[in-house]
Amino acid sequence: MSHAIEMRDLHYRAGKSFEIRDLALNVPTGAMYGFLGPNGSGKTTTIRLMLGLLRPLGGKITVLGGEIPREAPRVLARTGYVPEQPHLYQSLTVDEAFRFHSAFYPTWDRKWADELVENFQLDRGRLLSRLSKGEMGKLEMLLALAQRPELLVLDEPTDGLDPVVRRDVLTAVLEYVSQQNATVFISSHLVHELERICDWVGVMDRGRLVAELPMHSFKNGIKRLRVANAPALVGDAPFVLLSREVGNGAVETWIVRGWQPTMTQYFEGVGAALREVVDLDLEEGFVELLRTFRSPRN
Amino acid sequence: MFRMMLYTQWKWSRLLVVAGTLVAFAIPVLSVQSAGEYNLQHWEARALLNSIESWGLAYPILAAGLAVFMAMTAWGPDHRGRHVYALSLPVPRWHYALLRFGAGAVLLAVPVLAVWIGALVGTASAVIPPGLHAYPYALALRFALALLFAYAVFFAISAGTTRTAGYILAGIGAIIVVQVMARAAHVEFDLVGTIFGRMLGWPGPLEIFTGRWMLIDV
Amino acid sequence: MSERRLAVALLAVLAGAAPAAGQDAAALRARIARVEPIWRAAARLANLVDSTRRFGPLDTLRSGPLTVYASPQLAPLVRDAMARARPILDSVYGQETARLAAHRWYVVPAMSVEYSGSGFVIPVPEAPSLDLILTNLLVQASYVYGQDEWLGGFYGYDLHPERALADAYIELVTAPSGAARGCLLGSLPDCALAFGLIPGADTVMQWYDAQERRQLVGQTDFYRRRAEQAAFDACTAGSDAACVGLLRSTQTYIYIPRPLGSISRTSLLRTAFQLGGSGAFHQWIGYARSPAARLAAAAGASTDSLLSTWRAEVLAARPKTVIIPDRTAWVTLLWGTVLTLVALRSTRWR
Repeated sequence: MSHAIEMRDLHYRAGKSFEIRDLALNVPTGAMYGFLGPNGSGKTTTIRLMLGLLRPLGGKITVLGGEIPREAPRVLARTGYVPEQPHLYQSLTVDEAFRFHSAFYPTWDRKWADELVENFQLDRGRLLSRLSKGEMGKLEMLLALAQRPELLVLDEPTDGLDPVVRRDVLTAVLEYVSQQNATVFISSHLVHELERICDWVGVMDRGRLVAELPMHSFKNGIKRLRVANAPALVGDAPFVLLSREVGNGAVETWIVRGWQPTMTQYFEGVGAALREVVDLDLEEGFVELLRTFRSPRN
Repeated sequence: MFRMMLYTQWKWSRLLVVAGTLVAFAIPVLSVQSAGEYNLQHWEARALLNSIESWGLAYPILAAGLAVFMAMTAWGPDHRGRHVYALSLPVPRWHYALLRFGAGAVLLAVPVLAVWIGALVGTASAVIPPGLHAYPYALALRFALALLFAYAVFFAISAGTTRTAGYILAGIGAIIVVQVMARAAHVEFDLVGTIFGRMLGWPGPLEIFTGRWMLIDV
Repeated sequence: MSERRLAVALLAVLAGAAPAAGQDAAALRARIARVEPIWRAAARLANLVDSTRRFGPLDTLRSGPLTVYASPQLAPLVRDAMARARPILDSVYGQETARLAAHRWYVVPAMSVEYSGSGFVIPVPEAPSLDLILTNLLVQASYVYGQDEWLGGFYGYDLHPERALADAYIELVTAPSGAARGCLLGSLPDCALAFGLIPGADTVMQWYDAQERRQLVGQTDFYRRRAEQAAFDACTAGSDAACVGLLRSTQTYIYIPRPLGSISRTSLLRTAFQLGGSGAFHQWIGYARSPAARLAAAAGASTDSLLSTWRAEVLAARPKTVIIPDRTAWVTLLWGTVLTLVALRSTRWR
């Protein structure tokens, strides 16, 4: 499997309080990769490192086959980027921003850009400083898409947008991906949003990559188990016990990862009884994952 | 690409360019007009030259002012956006900086032309006493060189990071501290004067500012 | 009591001391010589009394030949100024500095009362600078020696010595006179002529040619106002005779602009004094001779030698050219390129 983005042993430090250490990340080509993590976990910093906007202290970054930052201009020419905060020149009008941006991208699709302007109902003559947050979000997405990139890097693209605009933006992304088979790297702390569109997920917390796996594995592999007569020591369980909690009576609640239906036999072997297996949605799984990661054992 | 860079630079600095151009045109014209009363008295050439010379300071001040503001407008929007947009564009940093520099330099050619035209208009409308000559080309060239140099200085400073600005300020501070300490220790050592002397004399960078900014001279 | 009243009283005492009749001139001179010191002392006392009444109590400050009465609060500053003024005055006037002893200066806060006594008053603001007092002392000292007709003014300490020769260069180059142009090109007789050092020269005809005379009349308000309209019109229409007539009709030289005026003449005088040394000023003012002879005496050299030296100095002091030297242009471009390269290398890491 080829990777659109590869990071190896990435090390970066910002001040004394924040550090990214030994980060290894692989985004398969053509994947819709959701990059999850709470605020301040290092998502934006990782993206900036990925695009050559920040200089790592160590490690190796390869994007679309080009080494970053050495080959950043070549890579950026094939990458559409929507940053967390609007980064366009506020004193330009929408039309001027178009013309300025398109001048740097030989693959700029003017016809499609015009269509997107119509679809997004943007006023070409309006100053960027006068655009609403939703309009600005749509414009940023429009500029990233109209350059026909092989890779879309979207940093919290829907943060703060109303549901209608959010749907417009994500629909445009999905349409583009369906046409172009482009790779999308999308970061968010809105778990539900990614659950619907991503096929890969990476979870970041405190500068570390907590998990990286296909979305279906993530969604199906984390379960809440209700266990009676649970053993004190788990021993060689075929799953990963993320947490256990004593409930009413002798029944405990376990959160596990890597669960398979055939694993019920394990409980019989240790003298316990599995009363219930509950599917967790992505958000619950995400929360449990972080809680486990932050526990003193880790 | 350069056309759009020029366009954005124009959009950000058009008021400055228009105002600077008007002033640049007015200075040589006014310098000659204000000296007009001397023209009939040809033996008062010294007074005429004094009058012309009194306007001389306006050219380097205008050059420095235009350079500062042009450099500020060249980098201001990028500073405000913390350079994220500029750095995410698919051009090497040096290429981007060169485009920005070039756009500012092209726009600064307008006030230079205004000085030249103003100097030609001013000298054409004046009676120049025998023995004196008009130097519109030399004046415009001096203004152009001073403006270009000042723009390069402020553009380089503005292109730097906050850390770079800190280093520059620290350097200036260190010089002042050394001078103060030398004075306190009664050591005859004029470091500031020496540095200024080196910068203002040949082959110092500021030599172009020290020449005669005279539209009319011997 | 004013000085004048005191003098009258003293003269009356002298007159009454003995009848004039029967006395010979020598005896009278001897009597005057005896009384003169008394008169001077009385005059000084009268000055002091007079000034005290007008300015309040003053400190008396002396430095060589200089005597200055200063308000007590200004005294320290004035003392410094006098100490600085002395060597300057010595260098300018040489032995003639002694003449300053006969005069008094008053350095007092600026006041609205007009002072009518003897001596030079230097009114100063409440917090004057040392330079202000020094400059006033030097300028007013020049008044002691009077105006010189050839020079066209007083000779004193040059406040802007660094510009004096450059200004003279400008005057030499811009003078609309064939004589000045000849001088610029190296003709010493033309220099002498342009400076008005040739006795009996017909300046109207020799300083200017016909065209210059026409321009002179046409461009000078004085002639426009003074001339008969017909003569003025004839001159400006091209009649040189009319122009010459108009120029000759003026009573004094001041209406015929001198090709080399007081700026050049002062610089020539300064060159003469530099050549002549400490006694030069004395030579200059000490004899009622022609300007050329006085200059030669002051310089201790021939007029030609003096003019040659002056011309060389003036040409050397030519103002820095307006044209940008190639090396300046190149070095500016080089620095600009270096700084641009520095900007291009600005780090992308923020």
